[in-house]
Amino acid sequence: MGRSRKMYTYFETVWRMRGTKIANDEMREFLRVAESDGWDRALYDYSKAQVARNGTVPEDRRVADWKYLLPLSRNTRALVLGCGWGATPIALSETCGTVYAIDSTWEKIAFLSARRRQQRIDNLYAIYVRDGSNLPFPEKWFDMVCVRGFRWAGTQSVRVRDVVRRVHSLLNEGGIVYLSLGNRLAFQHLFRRGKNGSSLPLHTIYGYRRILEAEGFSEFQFYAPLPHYDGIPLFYVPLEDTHALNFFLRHIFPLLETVSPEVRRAYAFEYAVAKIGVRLALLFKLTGLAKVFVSGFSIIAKKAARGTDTAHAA
Amino acid sequence: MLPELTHRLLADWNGLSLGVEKPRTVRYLGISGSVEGGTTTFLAFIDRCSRPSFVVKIHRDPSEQSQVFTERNILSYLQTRSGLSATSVPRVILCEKITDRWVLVQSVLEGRPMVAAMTRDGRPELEGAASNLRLAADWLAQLHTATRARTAAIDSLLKQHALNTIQEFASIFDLSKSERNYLNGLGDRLDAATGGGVSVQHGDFCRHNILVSRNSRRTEVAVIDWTFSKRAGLPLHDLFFFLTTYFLQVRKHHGITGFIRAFADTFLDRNTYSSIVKRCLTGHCRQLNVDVSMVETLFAMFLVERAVFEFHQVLRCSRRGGLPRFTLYLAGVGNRDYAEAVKAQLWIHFFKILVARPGQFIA
Repeated sequence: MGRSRKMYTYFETVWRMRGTKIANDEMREFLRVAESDGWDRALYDYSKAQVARNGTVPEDRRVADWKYLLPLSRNTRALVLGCGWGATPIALSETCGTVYAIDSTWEKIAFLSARRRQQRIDNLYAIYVRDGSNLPFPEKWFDMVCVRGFRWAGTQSVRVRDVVRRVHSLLNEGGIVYLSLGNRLAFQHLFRRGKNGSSLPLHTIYGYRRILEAEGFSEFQFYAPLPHYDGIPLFYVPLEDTHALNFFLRHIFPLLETVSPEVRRAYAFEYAVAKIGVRLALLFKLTGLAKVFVSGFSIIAKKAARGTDTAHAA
Repeated sequence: MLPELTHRLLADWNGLSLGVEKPRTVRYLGISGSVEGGTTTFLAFIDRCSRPSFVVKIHRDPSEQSQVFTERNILSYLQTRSGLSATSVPRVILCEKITDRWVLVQSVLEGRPMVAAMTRDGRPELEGAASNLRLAADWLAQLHTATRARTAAIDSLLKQHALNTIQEFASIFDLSKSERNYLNGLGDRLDAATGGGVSVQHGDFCRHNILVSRNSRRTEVAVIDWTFSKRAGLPLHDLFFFLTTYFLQVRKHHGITGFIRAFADTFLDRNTYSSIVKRCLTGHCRQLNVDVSMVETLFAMFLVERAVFEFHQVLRCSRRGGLPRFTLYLAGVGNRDYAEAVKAQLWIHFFKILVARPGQFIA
């Protein structure tokens, strides 16, 4: 049996025993394969086993499509907090001048380092930190900070406000933050189908806006990454444009009927609930309420210029 | 990038001929598309407009600029052709490099994606299918008439390209002796297959790229997403793709069995649905002046072309990380290792089934 087949069988057996999360010893084996056989081979084995269990693909390039909503260039110095499987920092490295990727899972950093080396990316730096309290950067160092799936603290809880404040301090004047965050009122939670996979407490769209405003951010853009904020979004729906929202619900949402029976089965519950919600919303002209119940948010905000920043004076 | 693009568009708004006043705000709705497609699309909503005003297509891979130019050139060419409604294909508004990416800004077309219903036994609903197949075939006939070309040079180039594709197919996939013999015969029959001339090929002619708008007087068809279009393609390619994917998207049965069953029900088995498909194919051959006896040859060539095309698409995906979910699924079913995974696709399955059932193709 080839080495890749052995790897696949190993993952499949372990997942049957342990469920979806990849524990540290499997991660170390995954890493060993990434070093010896190539990052793409390791990711392939892991992804194939996920799909075989009717799960979702962990990551692909689409996970960073939000980057086109931002004014990035070769002059941008970017920080990614939570590097995932590498798609986001690598996508940013294609556009930005320098990218620093931070994660508190050592193996994720090691995988990204292997990937960076093998793909010959020389403007990306992968850095391990134990938690978010110890980010090794000076203030006002970055033009853009992305917060996505980063575990902020080992054992203590961290407030979103503290995270936003820390990000604010790292950004230059006029710098941009991109946040991928869950929604406290997500319909999955209301039906007890979803769990908060983030290390941060959840808020509503109004709560996040209040926090960002108080901490010196402005020019907000709120998007609903659908179907899931922490998977591979297929859509970014601007939540504060009711026309775009209406258009999406009337013309694009029905396209989900055209996906394969396999994908329909994987999202059966979410789609069934969403379909009822969409019909009611369109019938009673309540599409504006969609922003209250979506699974999560992609939030873009700008660090307010000096003079409008009163948050830290208090 | 989109903020820079917005700035660029606003600076020259009147020159874009969008027919609306220069806006104060532009917001974007993102549609990521398939990972193997390689593009992401944003619909632009301006001020208080309830419909998008233009579409922005971005290629994720900076090295894919040739595809941008091809699409731009094809769309610009189509806008000049009589016999094809100017509102049935997008108009190119802008094609420029914005920061580090080529973007194609296009007009928005009216209509909703073509709808297909399924019956309880897992087949396409017949009346709707007949209507949809007719709409698709008629539109493709218009495309063919408007862009038809036939010269000895074109015939020769097309045949050479087809032979190269056959050779590549044989080198990529594991084929039996009978399958290789079939391929050899295919190459010999190609001359007769291009009798009706060649025309622009859409390359991804499936339901979700076909917009339909109906009023009391008539039904209009518009076609979007010309990413994989080309100036000259073999006859019937787009219709074959439409027919193949039509059932695949509405099928009831899961897994590889479901796909194979849908394919056989459409092209090989005798049933009420395949009768409709056959009528559509023979009618379209008349419209294109293609000899009906060549249909199976062209269909086999279509499967070969799609297999090679998808192989290259998936190979590009693998280099960037993140194979399509369906490739991963097929690779798992076939217990393939990484090196073989890029060959995991439906088209080679369909080709093998076609060869294994000689004389059963419906047309």
